[in-house]
Amino acid sequence: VIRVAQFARGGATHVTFLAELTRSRAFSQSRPPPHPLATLFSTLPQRPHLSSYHFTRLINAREAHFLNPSFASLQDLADYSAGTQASLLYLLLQATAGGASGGGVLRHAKPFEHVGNEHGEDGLGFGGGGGAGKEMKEPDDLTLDHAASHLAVATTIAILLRSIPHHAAKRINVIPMEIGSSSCSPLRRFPANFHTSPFALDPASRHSLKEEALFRQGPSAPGLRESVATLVGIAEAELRTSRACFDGTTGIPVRAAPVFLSAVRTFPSPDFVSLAET
Amino acid sequence: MRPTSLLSSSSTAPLPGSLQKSLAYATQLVRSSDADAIYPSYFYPSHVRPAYLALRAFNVELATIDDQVSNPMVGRMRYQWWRDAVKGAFEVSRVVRVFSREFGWLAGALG
Repeated sequence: VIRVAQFARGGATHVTFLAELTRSRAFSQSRPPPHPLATLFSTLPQRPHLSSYHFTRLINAREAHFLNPSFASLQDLADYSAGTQASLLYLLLQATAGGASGGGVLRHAKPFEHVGNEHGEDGLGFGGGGGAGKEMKEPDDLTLDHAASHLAVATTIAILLRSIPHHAAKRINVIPMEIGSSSCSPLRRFPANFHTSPFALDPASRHSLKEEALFRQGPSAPGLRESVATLVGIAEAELRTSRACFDGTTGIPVRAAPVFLSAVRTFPSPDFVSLAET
Repeated sequence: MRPTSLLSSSSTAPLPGSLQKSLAYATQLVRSSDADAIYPSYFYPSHVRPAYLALRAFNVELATIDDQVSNPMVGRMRYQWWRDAVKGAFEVSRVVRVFSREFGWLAGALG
């Protein structure tokens, strides 16, 4: 205070200001100071439609990742994507949904959970539809949540792959050290047979990628290409699964189209461009 | 690049000054840190666009914490700060919601 205030009067004013600040309600209630985003959120017209659960989940997942940035298994990766990208997609869906579905329950409030029979017995029939005799119906909120959860995994993998050099410079390995099944779509049916899979091998160790080699040799580290290819395969499968969630329905409803459109910027593949056209 | 170029079309009704400023902040943040995320914003209806930008900016804020801090303790404090901020934003609106639910009849009764 002494150094800031050149004149005694200025110093006194400053002290008074500090004293008033301490006494003020905002300070004693330990209210966070107004951040532009906090202001924005509290004034959004869609605010009542967003559930604080997803916000908390976003923060928790980011914090867990900050404290321990490496993934031991694909399950860790799936949890991370459910907490970050999936929650973000749910929030965006909530913002476009516009209100409660009835009974005062918020739409898209609950994160989608696989119970085991979503994808049919053969893994090809999705969303309970697909039959030729059935007429096309509008996809319900659960279908949207389901598709979003798969899209989130694909997006997470894409972002992580792009960030490998950034993280490797800080001596952080983001490639999962263990990937459960040796088939190309292991995430699809987890967690049912995840840890009991007899082919429990990890891509990093399956391709004998060593962390130290990744940090020291960079792109030429042995096994890096194969590990990345494995992850790309998983992302591709997840993307297809997400697309297939809308089989047997009339396609993505207009209001949710922009949410899924964001996949186009991450995966400019014809598959999702055609999705965007619906 | 003008950060407010989106704002002119973002809402039909004129926004209050503070909201306009915070929306400009969010747009600028998304533009500088997650440039790709700007393009989908054009496909949102104008009344949802501020929400999209706010959520995206929120994501950027959380995702860049680990690059900004060197100390885990400081990082945890930042996450806690956001937790409190979200709580605050939701508490305020809960008060408003309860109030309008309990006293909504007043508006009708008074004409």
